[in-house]
Amino acid sequence: MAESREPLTALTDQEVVALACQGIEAAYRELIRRYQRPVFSLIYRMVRNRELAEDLAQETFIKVLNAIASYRPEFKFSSWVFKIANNAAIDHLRRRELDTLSLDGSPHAETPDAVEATVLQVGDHQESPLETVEARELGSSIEAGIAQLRPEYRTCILLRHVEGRSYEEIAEIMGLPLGTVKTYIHRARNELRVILGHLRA
Amino acid sequence: MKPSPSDHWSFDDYDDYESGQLSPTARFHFETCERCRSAATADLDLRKALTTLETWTPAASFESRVMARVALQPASSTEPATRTGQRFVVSRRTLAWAASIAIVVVGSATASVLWSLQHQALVTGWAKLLMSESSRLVWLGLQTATANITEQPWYAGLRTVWGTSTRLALVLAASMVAYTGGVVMMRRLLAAPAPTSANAH
Repeated sequence: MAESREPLTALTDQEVVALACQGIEAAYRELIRRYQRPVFSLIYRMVRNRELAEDLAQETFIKVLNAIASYRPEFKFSSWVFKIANNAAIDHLRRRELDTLSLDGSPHAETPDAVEATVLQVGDHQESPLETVEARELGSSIEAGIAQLRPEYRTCILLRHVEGRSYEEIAEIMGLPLGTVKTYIHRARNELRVILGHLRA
Repeated sequence: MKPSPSDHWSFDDYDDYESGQLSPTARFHFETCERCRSAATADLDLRKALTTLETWTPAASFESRVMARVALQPASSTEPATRTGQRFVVSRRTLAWAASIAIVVVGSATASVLWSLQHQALVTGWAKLLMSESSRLVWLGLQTATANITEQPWYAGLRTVWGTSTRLALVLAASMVAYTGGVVMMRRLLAAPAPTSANAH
């Protein structure tokens, strides 16, 4: 059993995956524990709705773990997980056409109520848990700024500067050339600087 | 000296600035170009701020909800599967078999070519004999078949049917109609709708 082996936390992703392929439940749980926070954070910042982010993160893990036998060890496990998570978020944004959330409400909102519901309120104390936390945090302006970026820029900048992934891994996750990823990240930071400058003013 | 716009920092220079590994050229430009210096300072501040962003955590029940919908791998499966999506990754045993067969085929072919080159006169003789014997057999077969047909009791009657050019044209036309009718019927039969699959989408 897994308990008789060395602790799962000390193993590499590849080793834990190999145990999961042998049907060891503890290995599945270990993979969830390792990636639930970064995956959920990425999706949450993409879709900006806690319930929806949990659903998409859940679907991500179900897809990953049910297809664990098809995982190819020559690739990084984290890249595979983030790729599925990013696809889930992007697919959702495309389906719902909520690709960009403006501080003034979604550009796709058709009624005043819809505009009100999608306004990103920084510093307002009567909003959802995400916005409430944001209002208290030093990074609330940055969170708001990231929300205004294009989904591709958002994914790139989050993976690079929040999750600390390498350019190569981000290129693999997003299925983009390395040069494109570097350009996206640079442009995303430039846009973010402009947005934050505007907020400060 | 006023810096040239073409010397403005590239994406990589910003990374090098963050890691403290600026090239002498980039450093010189940094010291002389107010625009790049200001952008680099703001960029570095933003990078630092991004790393302070909080990692969001899903609900405590997340892991159990995922596990409830995951099918554990059967215990007999000891390694990741060899097939991923539409791509095949062959196992070592299959690879060994394929290599053995390839060696045998290539070895035989090479030996055959070498032997033929060394015994060209013999091979040419065999080829000539084979050609003459096969043409003789084909010609004999044709003669036998023709003699058989002309000796049949119905042959004389059949000849009278296309004895004139008008009759021959009529027979050919009737044959064409029958052939076309047959083709149309076959096409209709083959175009019959197949039962739909419940999983197709």
